[in-house]
Amino acid sequence: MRFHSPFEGPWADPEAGLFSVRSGDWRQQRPVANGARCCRCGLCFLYCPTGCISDRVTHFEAELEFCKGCGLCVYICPAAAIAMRAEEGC
Amino acid sequence: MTAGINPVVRDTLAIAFGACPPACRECVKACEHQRSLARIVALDLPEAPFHGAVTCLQCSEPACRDACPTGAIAQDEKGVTRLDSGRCVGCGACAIACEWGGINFDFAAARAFKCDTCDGRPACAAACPTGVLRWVESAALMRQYREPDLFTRGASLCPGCVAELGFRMAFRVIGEDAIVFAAPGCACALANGFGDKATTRLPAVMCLMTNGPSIMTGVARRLRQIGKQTRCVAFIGDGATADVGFQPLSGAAERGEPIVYICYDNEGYMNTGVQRSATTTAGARTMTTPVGPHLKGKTQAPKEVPLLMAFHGAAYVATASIAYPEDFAAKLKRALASNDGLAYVHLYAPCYVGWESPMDSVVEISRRAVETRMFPLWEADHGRFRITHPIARPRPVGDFTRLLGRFRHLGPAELDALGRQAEDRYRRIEALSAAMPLAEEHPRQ
Amino acid sequence: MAAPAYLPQGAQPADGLAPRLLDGNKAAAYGVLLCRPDLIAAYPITPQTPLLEQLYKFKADGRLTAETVEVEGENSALSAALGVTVAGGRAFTATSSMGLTFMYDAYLFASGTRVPVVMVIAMREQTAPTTVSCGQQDLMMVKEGGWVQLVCESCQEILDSILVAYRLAEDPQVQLPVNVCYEGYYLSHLSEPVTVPAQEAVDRFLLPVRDKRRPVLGTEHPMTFGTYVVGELYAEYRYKHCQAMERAGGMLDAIDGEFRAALGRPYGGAVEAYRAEDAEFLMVTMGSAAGTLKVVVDELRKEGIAAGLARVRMFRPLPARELLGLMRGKRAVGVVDRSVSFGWNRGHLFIDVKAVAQDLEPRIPVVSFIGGLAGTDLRRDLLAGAARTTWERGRGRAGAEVIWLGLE
Repeated sequence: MRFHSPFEGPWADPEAGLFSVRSGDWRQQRPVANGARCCRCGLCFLYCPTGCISDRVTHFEAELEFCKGCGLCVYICPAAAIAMRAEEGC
Repeated sequence: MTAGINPVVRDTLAIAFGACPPACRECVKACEHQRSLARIVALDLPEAPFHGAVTCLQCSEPACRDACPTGAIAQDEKGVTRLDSGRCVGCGACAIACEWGGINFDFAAARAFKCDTCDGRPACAAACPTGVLRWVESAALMRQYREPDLFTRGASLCPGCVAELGFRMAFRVIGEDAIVFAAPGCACALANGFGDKATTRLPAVMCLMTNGPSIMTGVARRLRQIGKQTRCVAFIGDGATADVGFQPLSGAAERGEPIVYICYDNEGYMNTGVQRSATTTAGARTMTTPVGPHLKGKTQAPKEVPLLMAFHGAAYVATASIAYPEDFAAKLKRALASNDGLAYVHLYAPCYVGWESPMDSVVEISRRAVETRMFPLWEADHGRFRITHPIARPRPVGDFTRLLGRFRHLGPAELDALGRQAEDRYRRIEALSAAMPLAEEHPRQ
Repeated sequence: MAAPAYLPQGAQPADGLAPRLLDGNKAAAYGVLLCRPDLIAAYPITPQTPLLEQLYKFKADGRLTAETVEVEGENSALSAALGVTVAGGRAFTATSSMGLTFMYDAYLFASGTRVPVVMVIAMREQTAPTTVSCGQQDLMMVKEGGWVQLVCESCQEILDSILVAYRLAEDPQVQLPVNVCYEGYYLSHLSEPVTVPAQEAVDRFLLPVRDKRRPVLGTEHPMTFGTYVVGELYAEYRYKHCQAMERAGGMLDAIDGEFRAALGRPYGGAVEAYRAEDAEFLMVTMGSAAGTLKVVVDELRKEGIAAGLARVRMFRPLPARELLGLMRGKRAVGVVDRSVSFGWNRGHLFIDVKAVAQDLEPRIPVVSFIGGLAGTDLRRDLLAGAARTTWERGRGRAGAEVIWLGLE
């Protein structure tokens, strides 16, 4: 028998790495940040539903592997420093 | 995992662009009163139509500073871009460089001047009657939401999902000394794992819709037995809370189990494709309350689960909204601190898919629900009530319903009825807060 | 040395070893007390209630240190019990009939997630028609639920089976929930002499739960319990579950040996054979009626009719190998059931026995006797009639496959 799980029942150990879908593949539009205009309030970090906004030191930026392109960061940005741009082919 | 928030996060003036009422100049008047020359402009362009306030956005890399030939513009340690009028030669390069209209010019003195946020207490935001201008104390806010995000980033929830957002926000406050409990529904994708892989680094339990609070009871009792402070925290939807799972929640509340139960209320069975639940707002269209010649959406008023919990012996009950993150974080902390019974937090969670609105609209819907008194923000500690965000002058309910396609079929009479229901709900909480008041200075804070 | 927990205050350990008169529910309660559970969660239901009341009396007297949860329903009772078990503790719950069906989703959850919780089923008819009388129908409603199920014949066996159940459930090779089943009233409310073992002896037999190897929910090593599973991994967990059932069946003999060594009483494994070796035909049943059938077997033997009895003690996993061995060489088998399978219109145990009998060469008649429903007495004359009918079938007399005792 070839077993995938080391457990008798449906347990999972996060040490083995978290499950994730490549949700960035769903995206029809991408957030593009104007770093100079970013006012560093951090609201996009707080309000990103996927938790994919990271601090690039000069400004906050989405990691596109997981960003689903919802545009909430654009809505929440008080400095209008983020804009959505259509992905090619969408 | 996402890196922790950088400590240089700055407080900021948030402007809802183009959302001003026509001809409103309250911000300009306040600024003039404070500083003689207004550093904010009210743009009234009825032909556009555009009505908005324009001022400096305190860019992190200000183009005005780079353009200034004399070095009169510099950022201070708080990130506020300041203009030293003594060094300004009035060349106007800064105003040309700023694509945002954030530089003002005093033609009489031939000097540029600009907003300096009134040193963190902007008079304009204080004077704004509509909430278009808000001073966001980000630094303090981010300290509330400082815990690392321990959930997978690639979760199979819709883009812009408020359940996913609320889940992450909640645990950025709650932190790592917790066990998370989920039940079938949208948000469980963040906690139930998939196959032999976990989706969170927190200890997690995937419950049934019918037994979350009861499994939590067993785990919480065990933790207490072995002297652990670890909190059991549920993040479960309204179906498993208000409908099929209400009995175990009721039992756990009555017994005073020391668990924290967060219900994310998207007002229906969204994971199965938008069917009505007990908490669905009256009039709303769902797949089981459709609209046609014989049916006009849901006919019953929503079950008020937070009130039921407050009348149920819960130690702490609160309603919360992602649009009011300071309030949400404070309530989560109170819930975590209440160890002598069940703490229940009812999180408003508009599902833009089921509620028929744009993908990026959940924050706006959440805020509007509070502003129209559709969703009052309150808390109750051992049966003593307090409205945490009073709405003195509610916006008309139509300001809320027009955001949502699920109310599109409602006529004026039905909207009036919806408004009256909201008023009744709000007044009920108001009356309770007056009769059984909870002191603002919370004893546990 | 302090007196063991089960003894009245001031009594000496030696006093405890003399049999005392206990009904089945009280015997179960002593069994639970001796297993030192961390949490008890149960909802009152006839005929299980006196068991629950006895446990609370132990707690009031300071003899039981377990957490108790007065849940609002049975589904919560089992869920709280499995919660504490998942978090590394030892839990107990008990129910009957409609309570069992009301916890059905948690029941399936507990086995599918491999949570070694122990639950008594004080067996009762399954509504409707509404009744609170004895029957085995409630157990039959959950026989496919993936739990190990032990069925008792006497009050002493009830107490002992609770100990065996924890030993079996928590074994790293098993990790399955276990039911200890006994009939309502006929055992739950019947007083018999029961020896309550010494705590030290029980502690030798049953290790503290902390010494068991299994995943534990907590912050020391954060893990997810109850993951969402599809496809091949699902088949893997099903396969592992079936393998664990097999191991549980195979392990009972060894555990009975350990039990005998620690506590002195022998049990004969998954099937108790009574005068079965040289029997011409075999009666099969489980539960309290086995006692009456033993008397019937003895009486028939006096008449020169070589009757034998197989009492199924472990219903799930089904001890098919043991049953087959006992049936081999017999001329007929009669199965007495206190339940019915709708659609088959036979008894449940009969269906299992008949399936096992397909491996016999040559085929022999297997007869289903249904009786004792809703608390009616499986009297000696009824069971003697059933045994005679089975004997006649073995000698070539034709007849119906199912016979309703007392109705026909």
